[in-house]
Amino acid sequence: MHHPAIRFRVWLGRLLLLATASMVLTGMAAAQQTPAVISAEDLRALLQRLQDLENQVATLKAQVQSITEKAGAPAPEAQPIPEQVSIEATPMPGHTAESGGIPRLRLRGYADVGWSASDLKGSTNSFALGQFNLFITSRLTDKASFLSETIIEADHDTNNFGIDLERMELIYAVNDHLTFQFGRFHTGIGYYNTSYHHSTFIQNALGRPFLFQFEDSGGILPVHTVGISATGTLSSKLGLHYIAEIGNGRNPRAGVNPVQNVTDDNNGKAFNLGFFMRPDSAPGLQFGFSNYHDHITPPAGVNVTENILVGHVIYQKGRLEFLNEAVLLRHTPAGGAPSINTPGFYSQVSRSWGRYRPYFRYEYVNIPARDPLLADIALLHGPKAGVRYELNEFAAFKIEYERTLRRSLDAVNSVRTQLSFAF
Amino acid sequence: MGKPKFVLALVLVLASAPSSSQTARGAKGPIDIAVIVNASNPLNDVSASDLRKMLMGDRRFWKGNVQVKLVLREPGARERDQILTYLLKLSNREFAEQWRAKVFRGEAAEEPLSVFSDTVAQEYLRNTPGGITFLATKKLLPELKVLKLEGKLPGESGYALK
Repeated sequence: MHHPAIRFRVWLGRLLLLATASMVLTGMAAAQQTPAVISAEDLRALLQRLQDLENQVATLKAQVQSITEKAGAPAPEAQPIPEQVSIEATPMPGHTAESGGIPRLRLRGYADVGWSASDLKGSTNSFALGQFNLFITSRLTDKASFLSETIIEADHDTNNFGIDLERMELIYAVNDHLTFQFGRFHTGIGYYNTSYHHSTFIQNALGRPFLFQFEDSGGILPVHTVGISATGTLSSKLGLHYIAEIGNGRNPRAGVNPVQNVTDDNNGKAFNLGFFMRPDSAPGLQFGFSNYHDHITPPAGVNVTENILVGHVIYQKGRLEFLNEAVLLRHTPAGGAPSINTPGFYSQVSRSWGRYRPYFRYEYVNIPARDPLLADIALLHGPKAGVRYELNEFAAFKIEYERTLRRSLDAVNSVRTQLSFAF
Repeated sequence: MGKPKFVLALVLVLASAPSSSQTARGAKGPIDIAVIVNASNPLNDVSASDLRKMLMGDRRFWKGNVQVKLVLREPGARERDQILTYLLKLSNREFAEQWRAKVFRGEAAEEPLSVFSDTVAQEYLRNTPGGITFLATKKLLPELKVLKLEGKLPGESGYALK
């Protein structure tokens, strides 16, 4: 039996040997690794990072020296504001926003695929490609930028693909009180239409409310406008904003694009004026209203004056979302006939728990039979309930049940799933 | 080495290591996070409410119509995480989602710039009259200045951005 001190020395010796062997092996392994290819830009960034760290070390050294000199003295309570230093100007690595003066094109994509089934007579359960959205932005100058959304999607009846330029906007921000948009944009009626565009990934629910469905999907509102829009802040303290638009309005004729992209069918222009508030005192709350006004020239019959009054109250903060919008669509035939009023609303609530976000929406629209433009839609109402599951930051899976009640027709039950993603 | 010598050596080694209480007493807290802008910016004081609006892209211009250009440290940096948590109560992911949606709606041309060092952020601000950033630093380029936040400078009692 050895003396304890000798056993300790032997144990210490083994430990040192093991540590030395480990360091040697680690060093050899590192030496055997294939050198990584590094770009000049990465190298510049690393050098800059090194410089930054060296500066921090110098600062720490100065602090240590200062503390050493003042040993025994109490530390001052107040921290000094950053001291002004002078260093040689160097070009900024990795940032090209201001370089060259050439606009940078940014391309992002959104798409979705899904499956649906319903008990509607004649329908079949089907896998379906959703919209393939190429979203392009470009910052042209400090105040001007460009935005477009090009959609490739298949027709429900023919299965053939078509291409639509859904949004194309030249945006010019004069200041916080005035920003112009020129081109084709989503009409500022209500909240949903200006907050959610052609990406199902960005909206929590599987689809849009029926009220704000796109024109080529059976929607009843002019959700796209070709013209000019002005938006801005009226009062920063109150969080009061406005939106004013002028455009071609819509074409009610069958067989033509309802969005009048290049030719208006009459000389009258559509106007839209709206106001909304986002009060500082209640973060997440937004409420407002808008009124859209147009003269429509149907293929037969008299001209119709259209007014669309929309009000909304929204609360979106943290995990909770509560969306409420109501619409009064008013068609007034020329010649003194009484106006036809179409009421509609939807209410949607959702809350996330981790990756899961269950949601519920109830929607309602009731178009009188004597409406000159939309009578075939009649009454639609019913609930939707679904769950969105975040697969990761750029993909979500949704499943939804919907029951649609219709006037003088059987109710329709349907189940839909959707995998939506950004790329 | 005899047992008494070994025990003595162990005691000396342990005594030379700083105790946790000594470390806590000796360490100063982290430097306050300063709101830094280009020195040509006429503003000297900013409110937390205005900072929130700038961070969310709801306020896009300084007085005089110079565009606000936000530059932040990279996700994970203390300055960025503290600013998002304290002023916006958002995670980095939620902040990124909000900005993606804002760009998608056409309310902003691009997301705020993220940089990996204080030096790069300061260089950006030096060349950008409308620039604004948040840094915990003691060294500042002469072309830059620190804004008061709700009337207080970093280091003063009651300064909010710790």
